[in-house]
Amino acid sequence: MVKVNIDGRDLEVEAGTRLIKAAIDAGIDIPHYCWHPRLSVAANCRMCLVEVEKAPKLLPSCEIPVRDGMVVRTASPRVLEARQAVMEFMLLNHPIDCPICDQAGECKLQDYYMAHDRTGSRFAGLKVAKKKAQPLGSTVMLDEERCINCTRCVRFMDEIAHRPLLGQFDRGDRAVIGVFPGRPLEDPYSLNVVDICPVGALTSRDFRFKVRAWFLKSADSVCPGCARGCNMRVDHYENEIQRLVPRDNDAVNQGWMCDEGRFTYREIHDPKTQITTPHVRMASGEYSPISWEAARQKVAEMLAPFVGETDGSLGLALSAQQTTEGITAFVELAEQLLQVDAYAILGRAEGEGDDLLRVADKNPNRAGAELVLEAYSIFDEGPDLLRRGLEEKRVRALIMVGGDYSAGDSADVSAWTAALAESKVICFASNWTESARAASLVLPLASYAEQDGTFVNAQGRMQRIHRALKPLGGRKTALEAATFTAEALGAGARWRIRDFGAAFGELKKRTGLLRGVEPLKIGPSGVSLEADVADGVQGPDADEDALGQMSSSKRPPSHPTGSSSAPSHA
Amino acid sequence: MSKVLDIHGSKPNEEGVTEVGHEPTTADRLYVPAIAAGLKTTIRHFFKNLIGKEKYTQTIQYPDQKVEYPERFRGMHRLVPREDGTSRCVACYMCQTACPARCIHIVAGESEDPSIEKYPVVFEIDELRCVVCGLCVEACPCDAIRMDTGYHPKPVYSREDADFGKADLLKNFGRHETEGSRRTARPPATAAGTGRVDRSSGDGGAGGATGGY
Repeated sequence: MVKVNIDGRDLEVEAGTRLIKAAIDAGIDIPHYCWHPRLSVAANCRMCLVEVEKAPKLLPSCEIPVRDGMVVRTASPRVLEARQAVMEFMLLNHPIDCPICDQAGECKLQDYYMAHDRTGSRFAGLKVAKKKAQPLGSTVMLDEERCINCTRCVRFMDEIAHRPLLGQFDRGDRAVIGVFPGRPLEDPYSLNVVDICPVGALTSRDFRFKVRAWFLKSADSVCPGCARGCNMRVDHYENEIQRLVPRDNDAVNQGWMCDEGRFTYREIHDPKTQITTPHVRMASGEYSPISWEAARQKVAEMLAPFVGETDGSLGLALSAQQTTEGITAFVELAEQLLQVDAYAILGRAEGEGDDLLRVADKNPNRAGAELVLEAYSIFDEGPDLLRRGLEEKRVRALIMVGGDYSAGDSADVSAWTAALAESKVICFASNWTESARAASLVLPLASYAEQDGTFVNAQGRMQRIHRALKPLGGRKTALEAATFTAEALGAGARWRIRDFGAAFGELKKRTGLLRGVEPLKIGPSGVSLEADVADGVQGPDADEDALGQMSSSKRPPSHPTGSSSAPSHA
Repeated sequence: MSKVLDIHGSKPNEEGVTEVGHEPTTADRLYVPAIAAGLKTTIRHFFKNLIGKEKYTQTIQYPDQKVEYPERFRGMHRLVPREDGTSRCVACYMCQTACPARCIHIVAGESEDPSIEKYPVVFEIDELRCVVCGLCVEACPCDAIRMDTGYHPKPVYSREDADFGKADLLKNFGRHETEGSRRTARPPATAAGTGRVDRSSGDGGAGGATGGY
């Protein structure tokens, strides 16, 4: 530990910490472009210059490690003058096309111009014209004129994605970022360069011209794309998700997110497959929309043989895409009101995994679903056994929560849908999946973005998802769906699990893993059920925001693969 | 704040609110003095108009007589065209952002012309919601929207008809504009999107686009 004095404040920081990190951790803002806490130091933007006593010149604080007895001034007249000069220089050739730039509103050039420059340009010549709107690949658009050549994107591709597809070409005011001919920027993590680009040079082609940044409303959530559970922000406008962007969480995804996860919002708004009203299968095999009242009668009629003492042939299939609370509510429903003999956790088919973030298990809450079944001491039959049960008529009726099914190969899926078509199936689903297309009654279920809840990721970390959208059409959240079914069965006031807290409370009563976890106090980075909670500790970061979490971390920016291994569910 | 009638001499309560009231006087209860006071004004105006030199009358015989609107009267919106007849608008959403009545609806799209990049596929103004404040005109960095037509939106039979689209708004003319003068209208100060802004040409065009860069 060394002692430094920054702006009159005595700080004690670890030796070797960069000055900018020490300052930002202490809440002293130093403007910067090229420095990124998770990337190597380039020190090329010169925005973070500070005055260090006994140093003859201003020093870039991103590169200078702290030394004992250092006295630093981050807002002296000399520093402010230098910042203004740097800003003027950065904007010398900037096209100032903010009206058509997607970055406008969240652009560091705009922010720092307002904070540190606010003067007109003294440049009398012609600006250097460069190429605009150049697609670098299928996901990222480059505008060379807006680029300030901070090389964050180049360093990201080198150091984090390990696929150095981006490079810096040419010199001086003609320097540009680009790809090699015939080698477009095609990488599972390509859109992270858009997030870290401090200006509008790299923008998302998916988000291009969709909505201005200042119209967006956000909800903190967790990516439903795989069992990693990357922390993300759902940016929405007019009840439609516009984009998904990562949040910092050192324990899970650092600050990154894969492209696959970012595009998971598409199916929520896909008009071809989304389900927003109840449907019943007619004799012809076609589905016709019905009212919720008609659906209620249909549910009551279908489930009547399974109330009370029966021979038992009802199954409950729970999708690992659903929230822990939704699954708990349906398990409670089965325990309290129905005679269910076969439980199974289903989910989506396995996909690609890698050593950075993506996990082969494409279900965000398999660990949560297992946690619930374990808490109720229920045996999970799994997809194969449940299919065989349907085929052998051991299970003659099925409630599906989420229309997901995966098995070994596609032959299994067709056998599954054939078995479903033979049985009485109530399927709660958000989209027309293969299973939904084989069910006798299809009821619209809200997606993760339309409800509150928790997901437990493959590392055993419980994380909160927050509702971003109002449920589309007549969709019901998983809790509302369980309540609807309970009311259809005539439970009425006896049914108490009507909200998030009640469902969580029921689950908490039955498992020691959740001891000390308060659902509404789970912080933005979640709680680890194995470590923190076993000791009754909520985790030190419970009430901090994501940024605080990032800066309070003592770990130096390192490659994420080193810190977390791929989980075992793959 | 205007004068508070604190007849009861009330003190502010713990929320800082002073309760005030008005105890009607005998004159108030009789009503007649108040009526007489009102009539006095009416009668004064009547005789001034009848025999006085300066008339008080403000009545206009509309529609035979019309008031000439002032130069900066804010009338119906129009979209200013480029020389090729397309709108100057680059779909930056500044007007929609500034609009307090939320009457502007824009959908942006990718232009086929690479020097333009972004253009409004849909540009609608709901003239029924519009509060005629003119903030959209002030917000526009490209001088693409103006309210200098000098006339009101035409009356319509249904609410939908009050949604004026891009084509309708492009057809509108400025009150001092003719078909000839319009085609030679000053090009936008900055062709936002080209990025080839020559600052030596003065007028702070680029600065106008973004408020000061």
